[in-house]
Amino acid sequence: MNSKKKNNIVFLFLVIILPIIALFHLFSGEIAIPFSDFYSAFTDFDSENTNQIIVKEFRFPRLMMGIIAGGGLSVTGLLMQTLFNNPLAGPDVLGISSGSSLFVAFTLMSGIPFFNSDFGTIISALIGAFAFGLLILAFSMVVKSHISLLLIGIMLGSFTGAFVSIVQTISNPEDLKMFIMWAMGSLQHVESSQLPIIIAFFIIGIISCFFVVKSLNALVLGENQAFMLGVQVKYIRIILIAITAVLTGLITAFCGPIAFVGLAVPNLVKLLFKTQSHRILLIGCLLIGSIFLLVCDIFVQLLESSIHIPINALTSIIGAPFVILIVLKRLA
Amino acid sequence: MKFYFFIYLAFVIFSCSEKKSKSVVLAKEGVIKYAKNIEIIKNKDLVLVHLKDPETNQIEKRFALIKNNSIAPKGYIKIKTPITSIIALSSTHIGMLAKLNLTSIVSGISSHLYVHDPLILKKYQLGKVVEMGDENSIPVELIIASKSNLLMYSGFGNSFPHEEQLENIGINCLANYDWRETHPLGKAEWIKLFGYLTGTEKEANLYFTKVENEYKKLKKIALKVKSNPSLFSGVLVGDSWYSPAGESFNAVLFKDANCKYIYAKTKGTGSIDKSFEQMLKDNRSTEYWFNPGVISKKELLNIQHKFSNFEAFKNNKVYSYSYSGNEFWERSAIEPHHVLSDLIHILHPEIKNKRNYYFYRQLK
Amino acid sequence: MIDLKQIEIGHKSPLLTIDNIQLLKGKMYALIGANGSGKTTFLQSIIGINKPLKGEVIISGEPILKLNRIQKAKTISFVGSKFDGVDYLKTKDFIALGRTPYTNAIGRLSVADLKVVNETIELLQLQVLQDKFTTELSDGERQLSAIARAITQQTDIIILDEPTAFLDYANRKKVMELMKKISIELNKCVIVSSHDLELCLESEIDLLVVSKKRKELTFHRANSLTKSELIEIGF
Repeated sequence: MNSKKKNNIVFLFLVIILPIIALFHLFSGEIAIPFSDFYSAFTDFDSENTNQIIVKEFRFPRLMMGIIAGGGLSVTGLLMQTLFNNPLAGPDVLGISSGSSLFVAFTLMSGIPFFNSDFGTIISALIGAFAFGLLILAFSMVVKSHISLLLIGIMLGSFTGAFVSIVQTISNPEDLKMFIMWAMGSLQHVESSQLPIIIAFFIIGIISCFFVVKSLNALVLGENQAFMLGVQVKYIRIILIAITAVLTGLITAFCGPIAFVGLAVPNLVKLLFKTQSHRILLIGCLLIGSIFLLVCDIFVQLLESSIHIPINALTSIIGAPFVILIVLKRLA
Repeated sequence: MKFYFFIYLAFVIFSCSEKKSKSVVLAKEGVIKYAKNIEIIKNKDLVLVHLKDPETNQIEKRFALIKNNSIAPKGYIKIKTPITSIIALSSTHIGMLAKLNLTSIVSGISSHLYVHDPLILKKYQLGKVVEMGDENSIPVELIIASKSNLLMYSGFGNSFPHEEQLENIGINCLANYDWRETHPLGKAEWIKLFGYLTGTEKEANLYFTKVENEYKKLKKIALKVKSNPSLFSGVLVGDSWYSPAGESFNAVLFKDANCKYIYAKTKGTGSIDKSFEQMLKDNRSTEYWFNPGVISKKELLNIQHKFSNFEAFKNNKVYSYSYSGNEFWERSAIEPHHVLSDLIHILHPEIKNKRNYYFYRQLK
Repeated sequence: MIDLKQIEIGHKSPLLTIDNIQLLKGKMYALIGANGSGKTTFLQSIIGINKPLKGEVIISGEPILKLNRIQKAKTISFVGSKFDGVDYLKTKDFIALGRTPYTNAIGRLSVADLKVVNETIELLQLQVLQDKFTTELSDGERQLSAIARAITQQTDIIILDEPTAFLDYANRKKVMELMKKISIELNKCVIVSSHDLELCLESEIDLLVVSKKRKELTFHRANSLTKSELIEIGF
């Protein structure tokens, strides 16, 4: 009862802090924009007012993408950690993000018009993530050691990295340009017109997670025990990979690779809530993941005028030491 | 005291005279007017070339171009001219050789994907021109096998890998810093180096004088025009928008074309980077957008739909040289008057346009 | 409860046969046999993840392979030889996972579910442990909570695969006695596989022994075999 109360207080705190940080995120940026322009950007948009354009077309999509990418990546990290029973799992370390990079590279540089559309990019990122998800799943059936599986994931990452550079050298310079733009990704590339499709995919992904909460709770006991508790392990595995593919593919397609969020945030959430109830963990990941990425992006924007740090670099700087901490704690 | 002064005086005189005796051999006729990273000094039977480090402006390498078998002065590396076979790793090298009708002596290139010159492409297909790859990772064997006299590279890093060994077997390596020149005519002036290297200095000098006169003439025409339109340049790469810095090559072109370039007063000869938000804030109502690096408005929208917020985009005033791609990179350095002509005719439509643009086109 | 008639068990080639054995509710059975004699495969057949080469495992008149996953989860529960604990998983929450087959789509525990969980905790006297994390428990305590989890699953059959392998003597004894008590008081059919012959004999329970010579599962009533006879048959 006591811990439940504590968790509720933490949730309340997070629910209050998220909009505050979101608001702060909207206001941070190189250009100071008066509040009146923020207000009218949403109420009475003037397409001739530069400040309002910046709010509507730059700040707001960036904010939404921060929330979606932070929350989404953290949730996929949680799913992977539970599926593989491995606290160091995440879509990036397992090579699932690399899968979507590879497919986006292929399709962008193929020059086929369909794949130059938003929908085409999402679909190819999603297929890539799903294919690599299944691949790592197949490996996990053979490889029992946590570390070995992660090594395989990292190898998949290097493999695709090398492959992408080969594709780059043989593709035509114009198509290559599109890919380089994409690969340098950030939260800023999203456009307001793309938001509906992104939000739709995101909501589908997140809602599906809540349908498998019960199976996730049982899966922490291992696949055999989960099976004995009536979980359809075979299907659940595929479903979890599919959800991960949708969310990772979506986020990778629009933001490029963002490392360590999927790994670090779920561990942080578990540490904070001290539970394995996935209903709580999922909500925790959504809230803390969003807050984490928004805070990172606020730093990126505050430093913008003096130094440009890619968001991916910042999340890695914070995430990597955290991972080392987890490993040390496990060894101890 | 007096004694010391005498010694001091003697020393000064002595050192002066030494300098003088050296310079008697050297300086006769400097032939470079605009370029900052090269000196060419013409002597009776040898031509001295000094390459300067673009950062420090100190001479970093000395070459003596000699037609006969005599040896080079001390401190100079001899290049026996005329050279008959050259590895040209940059587009501008090819463009300048093409101007002198000398692409036939090219034996190696970095990649055929970046070549426009039809003769070189044809020879590449026949296997007579070798593709060597990026200048920092060329296999030495490939260079030796090409039996060239000279390897010309861009010098992005420091010296060329294995430079000394190559020189020992008679392949000179020469860094061409034309890409660091900040004046359009300075860049074009590097054609003189090709002239002296290949024994076509007369043609090269003649050509350059023609370019110089044309350029100056156009500049004058632009100055007389009353309109003074505004422009911005470049495109978003990742999160940064790179624009030419105020003292850069492009900024000089913009200035000579008589237009308002918003970052004309920024320091530096390279580029400045701005955030996308800042760029929109500064340039939303700027009249023209140059060099977006793509060839259609659709492509721009694909990269970033937010580009449509720029007035220049809405009003179809986006111009790009990317239609001509490799051709632009080969020719623009040596035809700065044509680049300037394009800019002037686009920016000042009131000047009657006699012909089509050389490189630029309006994005559709 | 469990009817085993004319069954041949194995992977591709037969490991052991069963002529005719019935396992009943309210009884506890020890499954004994040499390594590689097919004990694990036998347990897998009962659980329904290994299809017998011949014959069918019938549970309450229904072939096990015909039960769907929820029916099965409400019929058989399983305790492994070792539960390592899971980070941040509280003992009470762990025990409550036994209710998984009964809860709604998002796994929320109903009042009835909570009642079952609390009763089980009381029954096994685990009140002191319930708020501890499973990683903080001793091996014996963890095994007890795993049994509690199986009990909250409210199945007629509980299978324990070498549940005492990693325990000290006192805990081994405690587990066997507890299971015997559960089989009688809660009227369940309990099958425990074990290598510990003395412990099985001391516990005075029925024995299922894989006979080494005939490769057949044989049934022996409690107290009907001495240790040397048991060794003679099984090893």
